[in-house]
Amino acid sequence: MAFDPSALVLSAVAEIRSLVGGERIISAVSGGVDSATATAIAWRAVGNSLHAVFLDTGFMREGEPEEVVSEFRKIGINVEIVRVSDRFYRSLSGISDPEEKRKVFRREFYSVLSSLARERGCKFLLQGTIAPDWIETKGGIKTQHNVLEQIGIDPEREFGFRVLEPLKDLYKDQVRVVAHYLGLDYFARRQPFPGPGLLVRVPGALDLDRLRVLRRATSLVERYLQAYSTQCLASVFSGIKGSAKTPIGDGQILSEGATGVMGDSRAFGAVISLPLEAYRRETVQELSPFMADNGITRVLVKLIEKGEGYAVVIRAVLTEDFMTADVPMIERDVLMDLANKIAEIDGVGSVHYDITPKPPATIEFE
Amino acid sequence: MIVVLGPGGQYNHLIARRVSELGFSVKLLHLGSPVEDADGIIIGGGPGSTVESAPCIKLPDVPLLGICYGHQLIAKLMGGVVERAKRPEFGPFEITVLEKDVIFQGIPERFTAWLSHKDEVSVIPPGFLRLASSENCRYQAIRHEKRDIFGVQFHPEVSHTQHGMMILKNFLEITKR
Repeated sequence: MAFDPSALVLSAVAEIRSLVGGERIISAVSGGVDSATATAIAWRAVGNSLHAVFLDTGFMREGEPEEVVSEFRKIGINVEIVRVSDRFYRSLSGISDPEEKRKVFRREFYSVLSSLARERGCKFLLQGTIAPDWIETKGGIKTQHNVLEQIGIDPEREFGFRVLEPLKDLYKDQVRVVAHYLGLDYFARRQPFPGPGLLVRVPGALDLDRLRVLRRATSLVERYLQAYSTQCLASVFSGIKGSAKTPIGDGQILSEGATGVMGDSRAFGAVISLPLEAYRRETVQELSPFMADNGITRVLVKLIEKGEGYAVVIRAVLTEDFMTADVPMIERDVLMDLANKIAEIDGVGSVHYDITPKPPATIEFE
Repeated sequence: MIVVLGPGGQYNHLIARRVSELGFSVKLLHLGSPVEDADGIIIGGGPGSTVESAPCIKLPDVPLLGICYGHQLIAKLMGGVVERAKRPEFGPFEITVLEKDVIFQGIPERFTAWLSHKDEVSVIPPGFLRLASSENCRYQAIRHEKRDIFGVQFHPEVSHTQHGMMILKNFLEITKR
């Protein structure tokens, strides 16, 4: 049966109305298509009883909070920006374990929302949780910040609100259909962006200087590679920590590790960068057994090496529903032009391109 | 009604979505739940291993398709052998169809499928046939000679697998008979 956005919207609106009665709803928008679509549905259901907020956690892209708020204004929804970056930087400082980072982020995110909900008199929290979020969290692949009830956290007891998730059984491609149906074209076209934002693209312990480089690199990658991919991003590693021999040549090991998914289990392992000759579709296939035996979750090819400094990784993927992802074999010239621009950012030592599909890698690095 | 039994993998909800997109009503249950009133059953993937032992399950005699872990489970429970794969496969690999069986109707001889497995079927159970293979894995698809029991190591439900919907449709059509 073809997916019918009008039926989904009708039933979601009716369900929200019957659940909330006359109570107020707080909605945390990120600018992503999921939370924007959920918010537009709730807006249809309860109008001004919806209070939308944008938490500026400090892990947003350049100019993002202002742009998102202005796009919401165009569709008639006012969004309050809440600046909480200091609080997030403080509580995340010194934590390097990726799952711990995601959990601390989740805790801070919900405590901020919890006090906002109390101050604004909201008894319900609206979220744009979709199927892959709770599937990955329940499956122990990755803790998505917006999954609570599915893993046994009682939001009413912990945070004082009940949760509404009108999109929880949908996949991203279906959410996009709903978004277009509701006239949210800007949000439907936007690059997907994880809830914890740039935090999960600074692997290991949070470092504000790497975050600065990442913001610049992200803008460049999105400008150059948007047309080649469903999603494209950058990640900034501390550097290179050693070398390794592989069946198809010598490589370098990056300072931090990255998350993957192998045989339906979470994998956390090393990131290896090979010379540019390895930029072939078959490389990861050929290395599959070597990766499984040696705990490697990512294979990169090195585009530029300037010397000491951060290792910036460019990642681009093609995917319909984010459950599997292929890597586009982008022209070398395009990649080299982009890498040269990234190498000009102060502090960058090398630039790499990630050629690992999902599986065995995940789309984001942590 | 098609019942999808999920052994905890990421793609089981996606299998249910595909079945529904193909026009069949579907129910997603945990592997081990009692199954009644099913016209067909699909056992999906999961992080577990059947190399050492496999959970005992009792299923009604209706068409059955195992995917990834489900494929290995069927092979193991019916007398085959599952072992750690010498060459595990993650991501895209080429599948070669050896027998143009009913589930491969309308599918080219070679196609790209996506996989994510560390174990594999190394010996098929008595009464089973090999339908497809890949360079790294001998049994990419198997079926029982007489009964409608099928297993595929690759994931037809993910969007990147070529002709995946057709393979699922071919199986689902059998459940109408």
